[in-house]
Amino acid sequence: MDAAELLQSYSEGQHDFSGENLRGICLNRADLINVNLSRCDLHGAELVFAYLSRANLQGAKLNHANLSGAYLAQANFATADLNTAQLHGSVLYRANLSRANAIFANFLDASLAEADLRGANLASANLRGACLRQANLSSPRQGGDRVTLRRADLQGADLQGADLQGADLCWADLRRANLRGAKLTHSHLTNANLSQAILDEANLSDADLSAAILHRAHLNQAQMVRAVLMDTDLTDAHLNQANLTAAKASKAIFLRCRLREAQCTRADLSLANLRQAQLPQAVLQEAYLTKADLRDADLTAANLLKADISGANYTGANLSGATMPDGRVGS
Amino acid sequence: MPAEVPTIASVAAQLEQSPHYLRIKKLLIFTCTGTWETHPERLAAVDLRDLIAQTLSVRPTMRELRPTLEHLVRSLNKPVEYLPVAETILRSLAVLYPDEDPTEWLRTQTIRPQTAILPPQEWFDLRWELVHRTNPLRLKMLMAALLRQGDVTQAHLLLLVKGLELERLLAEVLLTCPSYEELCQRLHTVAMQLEEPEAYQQVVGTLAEVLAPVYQRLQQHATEGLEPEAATPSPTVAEPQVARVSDLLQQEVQELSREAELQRLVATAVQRVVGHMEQVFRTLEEELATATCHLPHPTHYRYLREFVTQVQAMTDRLAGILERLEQGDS
Repeated sequence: MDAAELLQSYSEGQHDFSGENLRGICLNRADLINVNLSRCDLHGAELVFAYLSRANLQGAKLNHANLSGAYLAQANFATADLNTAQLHGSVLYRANLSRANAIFANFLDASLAEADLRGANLASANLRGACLRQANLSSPRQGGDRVTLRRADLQGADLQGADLQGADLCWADLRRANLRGAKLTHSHLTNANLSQAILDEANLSDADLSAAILHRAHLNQAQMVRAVLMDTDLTDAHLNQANLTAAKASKAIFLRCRLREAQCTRADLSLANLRQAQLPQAVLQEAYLTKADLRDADLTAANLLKADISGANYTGANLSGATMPDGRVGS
Repeated sequence: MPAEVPTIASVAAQLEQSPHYLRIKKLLIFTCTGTWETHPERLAAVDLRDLIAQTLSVRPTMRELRPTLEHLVRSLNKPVEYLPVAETILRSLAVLYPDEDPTEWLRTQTIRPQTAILPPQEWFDLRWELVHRTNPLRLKMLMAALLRQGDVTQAHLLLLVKGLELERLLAEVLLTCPSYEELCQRLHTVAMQLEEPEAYQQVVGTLAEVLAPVYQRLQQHATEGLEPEAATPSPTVAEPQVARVSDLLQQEVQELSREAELQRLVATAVQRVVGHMEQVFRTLEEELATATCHLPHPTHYRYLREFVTQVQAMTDRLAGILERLEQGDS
């Protein structure tokens, strides 16, 4: 079937073209709202600025297809093959991309707000500047398909309020991304780059951030209970009122970090670099600070009751009003 | 195209002479497939020409290829060894990308949008509002056309915005059009010059509407002599030199912005009146249709025209009074 035949049939009221071979078809700017193209072979198809809102593209082969600027709101791409597809600046508001394969797909500046991406494979995809507010990228704790964003380029992406629970974000580039209020519990962020990212009020409890880079990231009031921060670099990050209870932050770098009123009860901060960190009124009760570097840190009115500070270096630290491990208050 | 085949082939032949031939293949395979291939037989089986062609497809601009390779090299166990390999790839493949990089004109700018005009969170809110209400690609093409000036085809614009983030274009637009009035005027002019101008009218309207409060804020900052609310940089980490709005908005520009704000107030009031008028008009139309149902069909149109004429006469009288007041004051 060629483009003219398809458009003619569509204009006559036929909407079901499921399973058709439409390889390389050119339907730029075509009006195909609500069309059924499920299981179609659309390899290399040209669909620039096409109107495909609420279209059914379930299981369609769209590799190398060009859907730049296409209107795809509420379209169904479940299990579709979008590997290397071009979706630059497309409108995918509330689209269903669950279990879609989109490796190396280009979603630059695309609008994916409230989209369903559960179980999607977006490894190495370009999602720079994409809007994924309130998108569902969650993965089941056990079994089922996990969302893969491994090595994806998410620089400047907007993931505010997105559900990324259990997602694989290892090696992802999330520099300057907005993850305010995002759900990241049990997510895998090993070696991810989150420099200057906004993570205020995000939930990172039980997340694995080993060796991740969070230079100047904003994590104010973030939940990081039991988060793994081994060798994580948080230089100049803002963690005011963050909850790091029982976090595993051995050898982590908190250089010049702002941790005002942070909750670090039972956190493992052994060998951590907290030099020049600002920790006024921080709660470090029962924390492991063995061999931690606290030189020139501000621990004014901090609570270190029962903390293990053996071998810690706090030369030049301000401990006025701080409750020491033995219960004495520092002068 | 036939001309591309020998070019890819010649680049492949050149890379095959490199002492890092296998490492080049490994990096390109990873760039194309996300797989780190080490098996000698499988490496040998891959045709370098196919790999190069695939690389051009998955990373269609140098702007996309360079960070991909850099990021990849940093993540390897032997980054020092692989860095020169990545450089070789970039140098060799550069000839296969368009000779004239269309994004060069913008990449030479040193603007860091997030730190220059608005705090990062507000940038995200602004972008969200825009992409929520318009087509992001059309928006980018419109802004690129405004910044580029001169004749540009749709195809050229598409190529142009492929390697540019919306955020960057938006920051450029704000810095290029120092007043709201200028922005609106240039947007309308540019939209008319583009192919499918009607498709861009909605984008122009949305962009002007969403940016109006931003200009209002910038004007306020300029008037009060305040710096924009940028994210507070760490005292120990130097920020790159950025264009400051306070440098851009000088006295003359402030005047224009004030004028634009006044125009905006007027436009809002007009919209309210027109909206109300439409409602009144519809009600009157229904009432007249009922009252004239036994009369010839066009009768109610005559009365509707009478309504419009009387409203027009009223506004003319108001305009006359205002003109006299204006003359009296001056």
